[in-house]
Amino acid sequence: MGGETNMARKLVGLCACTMGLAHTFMAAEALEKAAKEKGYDVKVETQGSDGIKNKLTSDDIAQADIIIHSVAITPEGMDRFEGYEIYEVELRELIKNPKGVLEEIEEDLGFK
Amino acid sequence: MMIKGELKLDIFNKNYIFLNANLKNKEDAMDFIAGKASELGISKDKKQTLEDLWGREKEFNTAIDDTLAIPHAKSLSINFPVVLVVKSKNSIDWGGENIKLIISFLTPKYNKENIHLTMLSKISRKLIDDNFKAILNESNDIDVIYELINDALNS
Repeated sequence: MGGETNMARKLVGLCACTMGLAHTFMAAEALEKAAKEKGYDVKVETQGSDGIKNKLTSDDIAQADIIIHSVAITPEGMDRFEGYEIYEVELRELIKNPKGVLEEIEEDLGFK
Repeated sequence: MMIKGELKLDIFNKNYIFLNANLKNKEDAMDFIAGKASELGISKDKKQTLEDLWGREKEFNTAIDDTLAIPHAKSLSINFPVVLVVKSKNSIDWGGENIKLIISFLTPKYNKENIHLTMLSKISRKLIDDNFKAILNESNDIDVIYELINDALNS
C-alpha cells in the first residue's frame, strides 16, 4: 500500500537513566519531538526520580509500530514488552540525533 | 505581600548563575560547582559533593553536545535541590566536547519533595530545544538567563 503515511503509525518509547534527573527527560523530549515531526502518534514513558510518568499500557505497546527503549538501568515493568521487537537506543544517541535514530529504524522496518 | 522565595529554599535564583567563570578544564569546573554549592549552603560537605559529581561523570560523561554539559549529583551532602548555571569564559574540554555552558543539578540523595524533581524534568526537556540553548549560550545578561531558566522550571 504505497499511499500509507506515518499518520496512522504509533511509536512508543521508554526512557530511564541511572539517576533519573536529566538524560531520561532529554531523551524523552527529543524522541517525542522527532516522532511528532514525522507524523507519528507518539507516547513516551519516563522512569525518572519523580517516578513513572506517562506509563505505557499493554494496549499502547500492542498497537505500536515502533517500540524504542533508551535505558541505562533495568526499568520496571519489562514484562509488558515480552514478545515484542524492541529497538534499543543509547540515551545520548537519542538526545543528540533523534531524527537519525528514527530514520534508521524506519529503514530497518521498510517504512518509506 | 510579596513573599518571593527568600523564605523557602530556592531551587533557582540569580545567585545560582555564574558568568565569565575562569575555568581551565573540567576539573576546575567541577571544583567550582562544588565550591559554590558549599559557599551558598546548598552543600554541607564540598568534598562529598565533588566526589558524587565525579561518580556520575565517570559513569556517563555529561556533555550533551558541543555547547553544553550537565554534571549532576544526588548526594547526601546536598541540603536541597538546585539548578546552577555556569558559563565559562573559555571553552573547556569535557570528555572530547568543547563546552562553555554548564548546567548542574544537585539534589539530596533522598528527596522528599517530588515537585522539585518534576521541575528538574521540565528544564531537562528544555535543554534539547536549540533555541533555548542558543539564548543561554549567547546571553551574558543575568536577567535574561534567570527568566529563561525560571520559566522553564515553572512551565
